[in-house]
Amino acid sequence: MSKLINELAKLPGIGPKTAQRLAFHLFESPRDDVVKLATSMVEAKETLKFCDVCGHLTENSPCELCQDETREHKILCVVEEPKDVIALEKTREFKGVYHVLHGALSPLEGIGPEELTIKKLLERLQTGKINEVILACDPDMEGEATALYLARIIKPLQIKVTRLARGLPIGGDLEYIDEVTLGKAIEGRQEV
Amino acid sequence: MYLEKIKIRNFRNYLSVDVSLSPQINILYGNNGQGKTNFLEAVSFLTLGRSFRAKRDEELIKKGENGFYLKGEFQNQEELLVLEVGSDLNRLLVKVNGVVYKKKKDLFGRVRIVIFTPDDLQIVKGGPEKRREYLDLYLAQTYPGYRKAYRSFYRALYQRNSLLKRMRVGFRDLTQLEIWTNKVVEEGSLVIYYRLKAVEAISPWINRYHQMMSGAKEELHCFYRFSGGKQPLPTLESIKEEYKKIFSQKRKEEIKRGYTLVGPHRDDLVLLLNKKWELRTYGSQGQQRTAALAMKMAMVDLIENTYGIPPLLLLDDVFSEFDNKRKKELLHLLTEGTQTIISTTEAVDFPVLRPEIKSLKVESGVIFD
Repeated sequence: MSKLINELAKLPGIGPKTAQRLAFHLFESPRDDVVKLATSMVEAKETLKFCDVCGHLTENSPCELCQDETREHKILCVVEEPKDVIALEKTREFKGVYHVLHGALSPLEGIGPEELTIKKLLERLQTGKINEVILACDPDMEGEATALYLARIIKPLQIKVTRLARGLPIGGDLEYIDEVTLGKAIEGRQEV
Repeated sequence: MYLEKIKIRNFRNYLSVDVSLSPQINILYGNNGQGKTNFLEAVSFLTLGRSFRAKRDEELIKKGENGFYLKGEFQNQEELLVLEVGSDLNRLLVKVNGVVYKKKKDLFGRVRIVIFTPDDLQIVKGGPEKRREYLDLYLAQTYPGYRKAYRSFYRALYQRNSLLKRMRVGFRDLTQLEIWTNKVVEEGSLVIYYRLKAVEAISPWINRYHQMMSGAKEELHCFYRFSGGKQPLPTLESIKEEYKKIFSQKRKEEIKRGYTLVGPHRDDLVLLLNKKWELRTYGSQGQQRTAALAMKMAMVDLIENTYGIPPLLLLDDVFSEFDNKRKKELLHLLTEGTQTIISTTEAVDFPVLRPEIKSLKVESGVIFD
């Protein structure tokens, strides 16, 4: 039992208490359910890989998104992690293709351009098939720096570079929004 | 704003104490080692979310007990603000008006305070970091925007320093250096801007208090010294421009040394006597002590001026080196409407000087009205 708890506690967001709860839950679950969970974990690990083109998680490379001819292959959206692709796909607003960097620039953690998929990104851009790059890095310090860095090196290729807008969350209360976000929202205001 | 009631449990040498305070001047008197400073420490812990002297919370727990608890009831223009904090070795309790918060820093900035302790002589005498702390504590308490800019600046600075360290040993990436430099300039300029404004506003007050307390005619001026050399004008644009220019001049040297040479982390607040003599080097012990107190008194006015409400003023052992004439002068400087808590070892006949003063006797962790 303690072996199982220890393994579960290694997962992100799971502390010792939650790990214990999960372990007891698994112990009390029907055998079939536990086997299903275990095999799907192993299967995922064995069949999933990164797409050779965009870097997203996939069973077959190139991934479905890259092979989908109905998508706009001229517009490329750059994100930090595969989970960002999933978040953007949920919006159903974006019809272009993706490029996953697998991180953001952070000299403190030893992450430079070589550790990210920037070289691959430049190769994709040099084919001349892409005419707009949307930078969708996280709006934190490292994400901002990464976006600025990419903008700098993409500019000489004469490709349009845009950055996701910052501002007010939908359904939010103005008085509870932090000053920085509110400041950026004023900066990025639009005529109605 | 003033502290009306405080409840102290198992904190330092206090077992259980409940005290009501006057909204005006409160004097804690008693011999050394009875708990006067501990009382001020409890007040500062409630309002800043940290002690002004202990490094770890464990030091604050009464010997032999498991944890401490503090509760302060503050009055602010007919509105009650209740701050609670408790801590034992495993758990932390933070409550604001009964609502549970996660961190001690959630207490910060709700009640503004100014503390003077004998160690504050270091603000004048010590290194630049002491004077930056002095400015930062005021700015952080007054402007939430400053807290953000300050944190972001340090984050960008650490990133830039890590990059410079790698570049020092041969790694080349000037594009990335430029990006991190821009981040440091952007956030750092905001920090400098706030500090310049604060110094500009506080300088006349410091001079006024210094002259009143020393009884001398000498002028005490202070100005913010940017570590980049040429002093920028106090507009955000000119600070950014100057900061950027310095970075382009120092690039080679910074790569050679492997860290950031210029910025808010190396700036100073300079105190000059008669526009000529740097107080840190040329001032006498007495002048330095008076100046340190003047700086704290001036901060009270600055906070009241920017915020509209005066802060709490805590003065730890402030009379010890003053003669009777100076003591009287200081008591007269304390303004009505600013709640002040003073600790002293001497039983001065305070009520004769100002009848509204509330005296509290402190003896072995017990406080007598």
